[in-house]
Amino acid sequence: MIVGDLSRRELGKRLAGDGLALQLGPFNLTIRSNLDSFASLAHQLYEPYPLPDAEAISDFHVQISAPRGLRRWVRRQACFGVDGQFPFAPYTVEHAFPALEWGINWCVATRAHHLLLLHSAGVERNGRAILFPASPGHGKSTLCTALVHSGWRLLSDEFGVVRPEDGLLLPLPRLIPLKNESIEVIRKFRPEAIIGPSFLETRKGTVAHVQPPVNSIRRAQEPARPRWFVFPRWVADAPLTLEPIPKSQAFLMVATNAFNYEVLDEIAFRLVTEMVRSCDSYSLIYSDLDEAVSALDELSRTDDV
Amino acid sequence: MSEMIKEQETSSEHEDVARRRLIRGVVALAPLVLTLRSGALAAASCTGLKATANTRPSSAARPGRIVNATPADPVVGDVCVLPNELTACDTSQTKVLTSSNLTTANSEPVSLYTNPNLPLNNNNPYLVCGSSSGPNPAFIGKNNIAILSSQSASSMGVASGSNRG
Amino acid sequence: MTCYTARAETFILSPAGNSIQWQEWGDVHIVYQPSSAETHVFNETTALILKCLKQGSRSIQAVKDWTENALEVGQGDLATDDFVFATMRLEELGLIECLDDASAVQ
Repeated sequence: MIVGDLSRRELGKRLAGDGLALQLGPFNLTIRSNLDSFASLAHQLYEPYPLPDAEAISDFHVQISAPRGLRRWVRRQACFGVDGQFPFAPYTVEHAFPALEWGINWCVATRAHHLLLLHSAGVERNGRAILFPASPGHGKSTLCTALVHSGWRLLSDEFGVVRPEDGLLLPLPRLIPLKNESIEVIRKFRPEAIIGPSFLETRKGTVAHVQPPVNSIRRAQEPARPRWFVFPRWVADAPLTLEPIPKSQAFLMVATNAFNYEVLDEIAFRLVTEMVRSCDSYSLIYSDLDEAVSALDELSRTDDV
Repeated sequence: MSEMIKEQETSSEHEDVARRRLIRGVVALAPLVLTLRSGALAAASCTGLKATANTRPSSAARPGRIVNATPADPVVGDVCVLPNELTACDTSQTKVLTSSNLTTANSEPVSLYTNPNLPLNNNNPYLVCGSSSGPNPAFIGKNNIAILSSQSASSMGVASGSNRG
Repeated sequence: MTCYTARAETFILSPAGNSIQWQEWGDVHIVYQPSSAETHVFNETTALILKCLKQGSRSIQAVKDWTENALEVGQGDLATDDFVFATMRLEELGLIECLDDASAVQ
């Protein structure tokens, strides 16, 4: 069963009541909200996401709700909560949806320590995955969006989720948040992409969420083997370069870009070592999305030879 | 497009070259000790300053001449660094972080310069921060210039004067 | 108590130094130290310092001489100050220990 099987009314009822259970890759969430605007958008953008079985245990209980008191009615606010705690300052009610999305990121990054969490986008094709570890602002979400709308499966745009037992990547195909100019770039690149409304003047500028292709969501329980690390950087007007980088450099860039490397200590050291040893690593500088997608397509074909 | 995708370097010579493009300190023989921290590689590595010095102003008879070096005299091959470009890693300011951002823009080799406007004697030629053609103007009339040995500078990713193109 | 101010002191690899897990990536050594759960990056010279001390206690000068020989550079080519600092740092990390005079004699 998926969210789209619920009517808008039923969805709103669940959000306002015991919560809407949602399966996001390896995590089950229960989401609660008393905001009508949030419910409408959730019904639209979460439409293809599966609902877990009734007896499934939730990893996180999150909510995005109007606070009690004056702020429920005047200069309305929305507060993100997890397991009854409210760790962040309130948002304006207009930013409720991105606030929940960021809050879920925070939950995963701070709690899912049974997994190694790389700060990385990831895509997969033909059983082999590319990971894009990158600092914010380097264009990995935009590149990731372009790739998943060009035949690649989305693993995640934010988390490279590594299962310690076997080093496989677990998909977490959530909505992809695009910022500022990237929104229009993707609208032009793929007019058919499903993009939610733009939220203006958030803490990260203008943000809009791209719904991944349905296939990525349907295959969310299918892990992938990492095969390449590509460290992307968008540079205006730069000619495309895709160059191998030394593995020692790749190790350090992956390790320093991991959310919980120090938490997992020896496990993280071993996992990153194994991944870097088994993957080829590249630096990618690009200014044109089509060129970048073509270059990565060709890279993936080198394995087919 | 395929020519843009360079093959993984497999020969040992190529690997040597590739490795030497990495982390600062790989080329250098000065021992490097860094510790990984979330979000960055912690610069838990210092190297000692050989000396601090001043350079004569442009109004002096020998503009750019390195003077008042302490505690040691610089020699050709050492590296001058502009004031405040290096981050100290001890309270006495005699050691600096090897992760300090050292580039060819904020450093110059110590070089022997013969000033054509002066007679040849004990004070001509003289040491400057620049080249045998003369001092770098950015290094003229400065106080508290840091002098690094060529080995220390190499460990921070700056080529010595003799290696510069 | 650290020995970094005493260049004549001798050092030896500590139990923590003996248990680090090495991964060699060309000239770069990335190591995991179980006793502190830290990951460090060493270059070839630092790796040789630890390798030298694994063989037994040495003074900084002896370590330097041995390392210069291993690196096939001339005696005195490497800066003693750099070795003093590196041994200080390795001692801070708990990877090497300074021996006092009595232990050194033994």
